[in-house]
Amino acid sequence: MNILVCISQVPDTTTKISVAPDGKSMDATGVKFILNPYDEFAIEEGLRLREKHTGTVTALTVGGDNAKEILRTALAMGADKAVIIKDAAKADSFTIAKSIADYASSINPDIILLGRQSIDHDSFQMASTLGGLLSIPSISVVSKLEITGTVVSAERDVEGGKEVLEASLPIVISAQKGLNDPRYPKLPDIMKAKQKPIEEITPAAITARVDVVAMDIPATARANKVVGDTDADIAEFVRLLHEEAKVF
Amino acid sequence: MPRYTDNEIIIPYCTDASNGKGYADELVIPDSVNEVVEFMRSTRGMVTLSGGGTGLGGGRIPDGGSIVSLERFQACTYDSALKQLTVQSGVSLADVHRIASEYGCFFPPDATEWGASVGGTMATNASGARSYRYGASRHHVVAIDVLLANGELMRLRRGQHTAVDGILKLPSAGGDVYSIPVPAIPRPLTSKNAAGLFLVPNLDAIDLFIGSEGTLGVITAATLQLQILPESVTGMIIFFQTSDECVSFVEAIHENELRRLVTPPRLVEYFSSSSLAVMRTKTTGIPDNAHAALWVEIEHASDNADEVLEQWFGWLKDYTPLGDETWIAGSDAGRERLRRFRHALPSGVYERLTATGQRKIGTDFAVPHSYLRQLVENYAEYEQQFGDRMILFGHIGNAHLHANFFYANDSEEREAQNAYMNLLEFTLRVGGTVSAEHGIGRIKKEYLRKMVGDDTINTYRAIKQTLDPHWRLNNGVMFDRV
Repeated sequence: MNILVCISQVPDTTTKISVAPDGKSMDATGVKFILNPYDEFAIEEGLRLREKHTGTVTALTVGGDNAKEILRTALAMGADKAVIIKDAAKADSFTIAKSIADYASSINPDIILLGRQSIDHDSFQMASTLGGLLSIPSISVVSKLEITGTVVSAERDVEGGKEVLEASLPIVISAQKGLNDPRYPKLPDIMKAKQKPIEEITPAAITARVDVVAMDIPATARANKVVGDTDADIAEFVRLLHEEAKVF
Repeated sequence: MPRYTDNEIIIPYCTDASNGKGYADELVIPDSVNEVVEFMRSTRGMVTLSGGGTGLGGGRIPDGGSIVSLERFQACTYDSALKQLTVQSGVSLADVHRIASEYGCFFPPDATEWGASVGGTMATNASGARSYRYGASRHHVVAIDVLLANGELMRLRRGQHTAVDGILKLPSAGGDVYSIPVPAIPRPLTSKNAAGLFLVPNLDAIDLFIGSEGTLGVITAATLQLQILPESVTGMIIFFQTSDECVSFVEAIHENELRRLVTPPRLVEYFSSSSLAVMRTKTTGIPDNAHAALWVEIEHASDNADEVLEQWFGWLKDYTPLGDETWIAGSDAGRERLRRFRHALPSGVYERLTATGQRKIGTDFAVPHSYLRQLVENYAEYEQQFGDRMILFGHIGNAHLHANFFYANDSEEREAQNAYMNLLEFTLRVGGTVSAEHGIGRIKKEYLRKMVGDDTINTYRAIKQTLDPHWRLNNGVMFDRV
């Protein structure tokens, strides 16, 4: 099975984000970058599929040189090959999807795995856009995956229950937390991963479909309100939940 | 101030993670320090203090009287120049860790149960895995607010009041001076101890209250000294074929640390064969021939991860043939999964008990380091004998292991009790402690007496008599009045 796993480098969740002077991008100074947490499930699932069906796992990322670090992690976990599409700008989801699709067309993977979202921009677009560009099915936010022959059976968590979908290879699958329990890389594999080559690809010029106009840090958290516990207070509490917090 | 007498509301406060049960006449939940001061001044009855309810010693289980819960004490202020976080007692450890990380800092003691409150943490001088490097909570507390049984509130700063010639003098607001006897009492030669009052020459008043399990005063707030987050932390799980190999490696870590040959770990945790059996049901990739494992975490600069890994790998190969199988967690998320995994062992135990109606006895003994191998051998024998009725894990770097024995009927209970008592006897014979971190609570009073002797218990009583003459606070916790 030819397995392509697309991974992304994102700011650490504990990092304080600030906006760059241009007012529409993140200031990367002092930011610690990590492998997108959902992508770890995608890598693990790729490795498990290879263990079951044999084949190769190619880890792919789009980004600048420092994104090679996450490819080393994928190699240490057991990926056979690592590829970076050199595009530090990553203008929008479309340009990223298009350069991945171009690369995928050149290796014809049976399955493309990725995390359900990258936790920086949270666009949730990659799986569907890739499926569209490659004219193959895509199933997003998958929490259980079975492949028999060319038949793909994928389970998704939906409000109050499960949904089971069937499709056939080739396919794009985005991974939900809980799809598997990602393995920890072993010490010698970390050492070996440092020696492995990383293939570099220059993407074609692609025009972005979306322009970022402005980026802002959210206003600080709202102040808490304390209400009492008389019947009138409870009525007021319900009103606040409804009208101010808008939770229902 | 809410005061409840309705049983339905009180009952959840009458138990804790020890699974014991008590009763109380009323539950008081003050909103402010003034309210609790006023309550202590205007009433005369017995008071049991209630924290997060995560204690394993039954310290919050009431024996009549009032329960005072400080759950609404949630205020928190941060001094960025000194990196000190002042928190009221109801704040949870989870919140402390979260707030500290928002300021690029961390609170070094890492008690396993993050649902614990700061008040409970102070009362028991809690510790956890990272105490291997950082010690228990008291080392990271610079000030506390403590409310005495008579309603007097004191702000104590470290270094302000220390014992001189066996007497600690504590001035009260009214002009009187509490004169507290602090005789020199031998302490166990363990690297951790949570059994009994902390009595040392030059005792700092703050350390008398921290770890006193609420018997001497109510800690209403604490100022915690945070530390700057390390640049990088690498977690590892190292597998061994035998517990013997594992002990040799732990000893080697100590030795190499002394000789400054390795970057020291901040925690060194043990998974025995019974723990690995549980872990195998939840994860894949544990080597079949592994019968023991260590979890370590190493702090280092972000640019020397390779050096640290190579250094550790270079010498761990001499101690285990499974060195190549070592798992590495380089990211925060990976380490957090390891931490949760480790925590799943005790919390899994608790869930199993609640679900099956089984009960357990758990050890919290620590021994001096030179007896580590013997300790592990003793435990291993019981592991063989008890099969899945026992699980063993814990802070092997501090020669401090937790064995939980389960029982479902009388004969199993007797067997578990026998094992516990034999291990207790061994611990005391080699100069260990009956409680390295959980505290004495109501459950282990008799073992504490065995450990420290009647004279020391009488000293504790004299100290309590001075600060709480009517024995109102947590009466029957740690030691009895008579």
